Amino acid sequence: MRLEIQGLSKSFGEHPVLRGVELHVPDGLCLALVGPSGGGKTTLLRILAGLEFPDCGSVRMVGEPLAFDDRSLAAHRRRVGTVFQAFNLFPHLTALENILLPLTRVHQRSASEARAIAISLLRRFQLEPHLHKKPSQLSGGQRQRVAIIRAIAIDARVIFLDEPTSALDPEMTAEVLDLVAELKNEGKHLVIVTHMLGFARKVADTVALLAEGRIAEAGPPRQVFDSPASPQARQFLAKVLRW
Amino acid sequence: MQWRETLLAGRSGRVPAWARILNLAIAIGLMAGAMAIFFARMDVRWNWVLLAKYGRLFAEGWLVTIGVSLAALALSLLIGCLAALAQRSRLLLLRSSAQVYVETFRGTPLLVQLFVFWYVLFYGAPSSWQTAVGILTLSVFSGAYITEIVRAGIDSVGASQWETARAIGLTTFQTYRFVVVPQALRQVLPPLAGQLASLIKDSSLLSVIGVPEFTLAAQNANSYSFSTFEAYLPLAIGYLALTLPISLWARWLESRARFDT
Repeated sequence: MRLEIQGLSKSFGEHPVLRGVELHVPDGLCLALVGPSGGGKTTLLRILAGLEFPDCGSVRMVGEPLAFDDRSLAAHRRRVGTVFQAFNLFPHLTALENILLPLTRVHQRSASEARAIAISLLRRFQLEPHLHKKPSQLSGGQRQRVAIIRAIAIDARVIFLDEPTSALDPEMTAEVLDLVAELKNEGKHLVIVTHMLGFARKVADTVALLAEGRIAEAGPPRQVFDSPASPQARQFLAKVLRW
Repeated sequence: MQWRETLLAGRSGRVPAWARILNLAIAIGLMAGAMAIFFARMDVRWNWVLLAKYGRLFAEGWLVTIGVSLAALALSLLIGCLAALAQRSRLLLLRSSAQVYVETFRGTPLLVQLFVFWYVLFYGAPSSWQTAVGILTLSVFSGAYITEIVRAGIDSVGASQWETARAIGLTTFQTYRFVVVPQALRQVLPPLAGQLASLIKDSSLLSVIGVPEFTLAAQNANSYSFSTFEAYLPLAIGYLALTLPISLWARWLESRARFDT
């Protein structure tokens, strides 16, 4: 996905989170945002997903500029899928109903059409036995996988994933990341904020390392991880790769 | 039977059913005994025969009380939901108005509100309007409490739910309809049942503006027969017969809401 970000800044009150982000991603399916906590990864992803207004700057996604007004962002949110760290599912609805809700209410699919889409996806990702379970009866990994299925069921042009495995144990993390990798193999566009650097290295086409609200390093994973140029990137990688 | 188990709850809070029933029976016995002693001291000459004459009056009053309470519950639910939404409105005047409404009607006695509604707001209205005005006043009064119940219910739905609803593209109305209301309902039901019990008791005040409900029936029976206790004891029992099942139901709803979350 072609992505051009210019001079993107955002403050929460007195606290600047993004300070003039510049990023040019020429192509590729999967963009991974990595870096130290508080570096602005999540805020950048939320702006791209249409959930937050920047203070200034511009974003072009696949050649189209993102217009930052309520109406355009609402339309943008309907075309993309977003998966948060946790609590994605509505607890009063079953796994199936969670997937049906946006299909029938936002994307005007008929009940039978929506059901067919949801069930075929649940079947493909081995979740069919759980389709009538409420989120409280699912494991954390199953919950996140249902949330990802809900995001792709609407035929989203881009899927945004904000630390989708940070609340999971290693086994569940693997099952969720397997699914994300599979989506990439199918040709889905993905933007993922993650602390799983191994995953970023293997699956991402482009890795952008954010520190102190700026892009410290961006490029193919090999370049970013093996020969980082900026001191912030070197410092971060030295820290996290030490253990 | 072991004394320890009969008298004390276990450390984990578990109480065997028979111990609970036994202790409940003792408590009711103590209450009945105390009342018997007080009445015996007064040397009342019971005159239940006279009361039988007014049985019909009581029954009708009791039914009016049920009708008035249910009507007021429906209307106050509507008022409460609207006021709770107004409290969340982006229009600041709506917010302040809702706040003024809630504080005014929660902070003043229902008795005063009834007088103001009947003698001032509906000054000169025909006396056949008594019941309708009574229901209206009771609804506005109870609506203020329900506003707070509904507000707490909406607040109980976490920010992550709103965020997810926004992310999947639901409109504000859809978010309320499919996400917030179904979840808030579960939280709101137990306090709402409690409010219904209060409403039933509060409706007794409608007697002061002449609504022919249960309490007025007792007052009339008393003034015809001069048998005060024979009039008011059935009154207490009649109210208890309504409020007791409701408060047990509210308790059951509460325990269910706890387990589900």
